[in-house]
Amino acid sequence: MKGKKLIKRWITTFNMFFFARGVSCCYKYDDDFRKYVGMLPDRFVFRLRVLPDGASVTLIKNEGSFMAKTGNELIAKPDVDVCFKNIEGAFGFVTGKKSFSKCLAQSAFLISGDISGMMTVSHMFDIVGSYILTKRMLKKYDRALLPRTAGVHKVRFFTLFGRF
Amino acid sequence: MKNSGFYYEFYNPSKCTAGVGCLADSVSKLPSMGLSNAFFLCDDVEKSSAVDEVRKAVNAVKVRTGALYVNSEKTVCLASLREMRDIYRVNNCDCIIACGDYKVVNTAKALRMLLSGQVARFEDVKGINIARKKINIPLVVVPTSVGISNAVTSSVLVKDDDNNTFECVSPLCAPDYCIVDPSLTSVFDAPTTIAGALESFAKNVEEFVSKQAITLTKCMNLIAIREIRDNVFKVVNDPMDVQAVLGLQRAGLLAGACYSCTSAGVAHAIAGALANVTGSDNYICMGIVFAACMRYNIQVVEKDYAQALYYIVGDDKYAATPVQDRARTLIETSEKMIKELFEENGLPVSLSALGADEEMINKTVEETMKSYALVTNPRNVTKEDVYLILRSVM
Amino acid sequence: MSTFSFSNDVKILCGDHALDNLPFELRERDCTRPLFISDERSYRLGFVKEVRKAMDNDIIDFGATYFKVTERTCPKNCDDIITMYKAHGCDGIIALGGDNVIQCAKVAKLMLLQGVGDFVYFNHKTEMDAENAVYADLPLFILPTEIPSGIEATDRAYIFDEKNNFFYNFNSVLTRASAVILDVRLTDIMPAKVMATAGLGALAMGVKGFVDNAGNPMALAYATGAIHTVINELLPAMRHNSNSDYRISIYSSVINAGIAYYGIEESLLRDMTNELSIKTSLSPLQILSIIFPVYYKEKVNKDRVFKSVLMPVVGEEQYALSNAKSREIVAIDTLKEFWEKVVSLAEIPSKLREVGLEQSDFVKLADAVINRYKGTDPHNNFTTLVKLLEEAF
Repeated sequence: MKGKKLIKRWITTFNMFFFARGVSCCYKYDDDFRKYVGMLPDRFVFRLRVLPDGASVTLIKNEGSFMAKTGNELIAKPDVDVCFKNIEGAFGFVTGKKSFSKCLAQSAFLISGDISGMMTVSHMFDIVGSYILTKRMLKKYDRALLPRTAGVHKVRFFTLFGRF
Repeated sequence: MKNSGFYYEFYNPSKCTAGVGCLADSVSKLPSMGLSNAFFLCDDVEKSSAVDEVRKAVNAVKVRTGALYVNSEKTVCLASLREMRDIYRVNNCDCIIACGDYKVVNTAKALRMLLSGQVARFEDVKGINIARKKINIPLVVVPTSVGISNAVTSSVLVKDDDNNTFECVSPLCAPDYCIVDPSLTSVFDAPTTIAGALESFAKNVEEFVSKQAITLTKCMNLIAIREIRDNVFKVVNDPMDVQAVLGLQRAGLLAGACYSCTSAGVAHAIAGALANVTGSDNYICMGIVFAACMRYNIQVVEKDYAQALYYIVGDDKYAATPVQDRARTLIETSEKMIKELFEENGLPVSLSALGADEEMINKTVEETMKSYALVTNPRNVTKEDVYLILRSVM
Repeated sequence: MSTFSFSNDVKILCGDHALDNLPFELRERDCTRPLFISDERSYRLGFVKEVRKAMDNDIIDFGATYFKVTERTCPKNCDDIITMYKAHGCDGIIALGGDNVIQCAKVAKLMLLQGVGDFVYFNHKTEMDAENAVYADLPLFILPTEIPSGIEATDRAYIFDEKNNFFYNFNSVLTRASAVILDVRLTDIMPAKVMATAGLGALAMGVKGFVDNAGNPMALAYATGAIHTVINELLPAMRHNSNSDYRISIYSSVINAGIAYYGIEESLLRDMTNELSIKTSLSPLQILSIIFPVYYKEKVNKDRVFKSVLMPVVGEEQYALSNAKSREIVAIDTLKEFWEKVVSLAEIPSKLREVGLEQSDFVKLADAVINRYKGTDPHNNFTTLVKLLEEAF
């Protein structure tokens, strides 16, 4: 029974990688994003992963720096651990069809840790979505277009090619 | 509406019985639920006779009182939860019976989660759907306040040792049985009634327009709104009118039943944050910001508000109100109703009257953005929006 | 305001990708070896494959599978399920299919929880109670396919023993499912006829649930929601039957109406529907879709509550404008008009004679129904029942 839905799993892992880059990029260029990061406590660790044994992205705030990385490195106890109940929920999120808050509303997650910290990250993810997705996609998927304080092409370029 | 991708989960694990004098009949079913040695949790025993009545009724069906704990905390705190857990275990209790206002009910919910999930540290079950049932510990709640919408919900707010509040959402929080008997309702002063009615009203309206609302929850909310309209002024004028009290309590039950599916909205997020920042009661903050929050949402839920108007004003006025004015009329009517109730009872109706300043507003904005209630609000809420809402009620 | 009591802790998961949450729900209940039961029809239509696909990515596997549930429920199915469950050390049940599979799964759950090894134990006992139940939890997941019957999320289950010509009516919390999962992938595109039957059945159950639960706001909300959905979405669902949102909407209204309808303690309508269903081999929903306008025409003048039915039927606007004194009449007229429109559009049977019933059967039928009926309403007697059947003929 195990190991099926391989294509969806690959796409999820692949998109999760670029999503993590998008997060790092927004931290570098978007003022609102940085304000939300400022609201998080120092040494805050947030992990988003797919159950069971799926892809994951981890956000770490440490002494003024902020980074997002993918991979399944063992993190003993993230402050907030958000797990998609199944691959379909995660697939909807990484392909932009569902915002993080919509996934939350539809009970797509198991969430361990401080809900207020998770809500701050949720606003941060909405900002990332506003950059990565086109206006047409945002409208199609009924997602909010938040004000962008940085150049959208710049963020998209560095999200795709890195080196920011 | 072709294949919109809509998905919902509806789950209401609590059995509810509500009626005047239903206590005796309801508790007769407790032994069949496996109850024999109860941990009794209650509020001030001396002020209220309800606890005695419940204990007598429960003892009559051969369920012993294994331990009695009087909870006087305003919020659920970890220290008292640990103490209760130890008492529960020492006395070999096998169920929890909570009798009292919303504070007692919340404490009982948190305690059941702790015991049923066999949780060593409460920090481990912070979050949503983390606690899992390991042993069956029935929880029976007998709320004695007017506002009982929290009684059957699956969430609870707990204060940790550092005085930080965190939220736990789990089906383990929801009671197995909720017995609502208005003749046990002991606190009859007007502010308590207003607090209860407003809490139910605001919750029902927010759930009604929630992003996750479905036809079933909408029907529950509309029935509840009608019950509130029919009974709120009756209770304020005659607090001994048990039928009217029951009406308000039924509305609260309906709001609680929908909560797991719909959650609340921006008004709850702001009111909760404002209460934290200013230190005032949640219902006062709700009364101040509720109409402004409805105005904020009106552009996306105008149709829903227009529909809800019927349940507030009734046949004639609804038919006489032009279609395009109905949503606004609902807001104005609600605002007028809240203002009247607040002013009559000397409660503040603006932020300045509450003593809030600019700094508090900014802090409230930040706190609001951390609230889980924003997730299902019909409009996507930004910091600027929250700030403008708060400024409008200054 | 009288005392009301309401309990329904069945979790409803409904909509897009609902099925994908099945493995998670199993894990939540520590169920690692569920028994998967279904029937040949669901297997042929590919629904079994869909469930397997949803479980693909997960660590949970089926403990055993049983796809031999017969078209009409029978005690042997329940016995087979029990044997298989025990032989393979299963710890939960997943029931996929129509009414037949669901009823069997519910009764099997009850038998397992009560420690009953053979259906013979019930030996012509009707109205099983949960009083002497051995309390334990056994996860039961119901996955209705095609058309739900309304019984999914309730405490009731019916088994007809054809061999002994006996109808078992179980009413116990032990038959209650842990969750009902309604997913688009388990609902095929349905002909307008089937959709119409489901919708009218839900409407009938909703109206009955509404009238009989006037003092119970929770059940009332279930009934109101079902009526409202059917009235607003049945015709579009019949016209655009490839639209899965409409389809799911109608199906969930059947489940909601069922919760209100089967929650009523005693109901002559329910007993009559069951008896006619046995006699004609039609589903209770089909029977309800035929007899309900006649049944309500009879009831309307006696039941003042009926005037409130107008609200979910016509909406707030029309309700507010209607004459308060004649609302019950307007309600029944509007319902009848709607019923006629759906019947003519879908060309479904509107009379009992069209489903192979003979007028000579009525006396026997009415007798059987009255014998089963345990209610105290004096109006529900043999004569009125025969009259009603004749009118529906």
